[in-house]
Amino acid sequence: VTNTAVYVYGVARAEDAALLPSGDGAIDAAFLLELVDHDGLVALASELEVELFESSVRSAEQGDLARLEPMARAHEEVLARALGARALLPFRFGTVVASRDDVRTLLRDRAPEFHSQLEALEGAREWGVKALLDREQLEAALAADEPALAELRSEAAAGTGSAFFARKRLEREVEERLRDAAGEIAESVHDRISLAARDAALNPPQPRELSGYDEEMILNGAYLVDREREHELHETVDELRDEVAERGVRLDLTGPWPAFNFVRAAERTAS
Amino acid sequence: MSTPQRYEGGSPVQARRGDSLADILERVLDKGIVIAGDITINLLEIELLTIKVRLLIASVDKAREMGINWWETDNALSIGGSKNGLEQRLERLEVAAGIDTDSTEKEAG
Repeated sequence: VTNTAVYVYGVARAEDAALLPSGDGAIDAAFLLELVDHDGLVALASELEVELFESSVRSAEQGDLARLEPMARAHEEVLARALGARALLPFRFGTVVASRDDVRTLLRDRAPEFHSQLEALEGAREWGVKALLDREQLEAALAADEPALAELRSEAAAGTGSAFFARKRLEREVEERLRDAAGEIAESVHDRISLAARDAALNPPQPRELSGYDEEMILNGAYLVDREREHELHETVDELRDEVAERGVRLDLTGPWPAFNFVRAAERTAS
Repeated sequence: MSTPQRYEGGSPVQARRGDSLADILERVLDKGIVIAGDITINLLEIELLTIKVRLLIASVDKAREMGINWWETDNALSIGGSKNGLEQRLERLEVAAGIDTDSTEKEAG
């Protein structure tokens, strides 16, 4: 006999139940997605085998992501399929309770908070914008604008006695100017996109090994955008793309995402 | 059905999904509503995992030093330098969970 529990993906309003996914795609493929409702709220959930889940998390915690990755993706994909709902609260990965009754208890105990957060997210979805920098291209663009750098460069290339020091100085100067210029670009992209958004959040740029990009990430922003203004977001990104391209920066727009970056994580309490 | 997509131009509604593991981990393990308390099960291991993911995603320089097998070398996080709040919290949790960072087996509660 296997021991099963209930995994919860997120919460929406009961009136949106018909817009939530059902069927396959659950975190444990042996079970189907289901809805558990209570008092005007509905939780998107599915059963799962506890031992299987625990061992996957444990192996990930100890360094092997192979079994965790499909589960993390399933969590996100189930919620992405629920984006038709007018408002959706994504839970953090790994919310597991013992039974459907416990899901109802959860909905009852936190109803005021869930309702107020759903209200805050109503009619908006999350989008991600990353700015990716090709350093050589930005350096070339900077050098073209800055005679001082060009001068240092020719000195460094001269092969005279002072060339070594000129080279060191050049490296420092170039590095500093690259950093400043990249920061300015990232900030102005973020500011412009924020104008089209209801809310915005900045995350640390992802390391290359994780991001899958060849370039260096200089902006990792998340934006909560009203559905009626999504076209404005896309237009702004397209305009910005043209503006930053010559300085070696590429923009990557992803979404729509469940509003992971715009839910308030409640304080932990031992109830 | 609508899924996250990477948008490269063309019609705004026809975007393609952004599916990098970093994006997924950053969102599902570091963000979202946290339900804690007696009602949830398995919290401690998820907590440990979450903190490790957060450290890795936020520690750009450290992750770079780690190279491609980033996940396996996370002991490097505590080598040298002053430990930040998250790292200290992780250590406390590991002690609380009875996890020796070098061990490979742990009894589930």
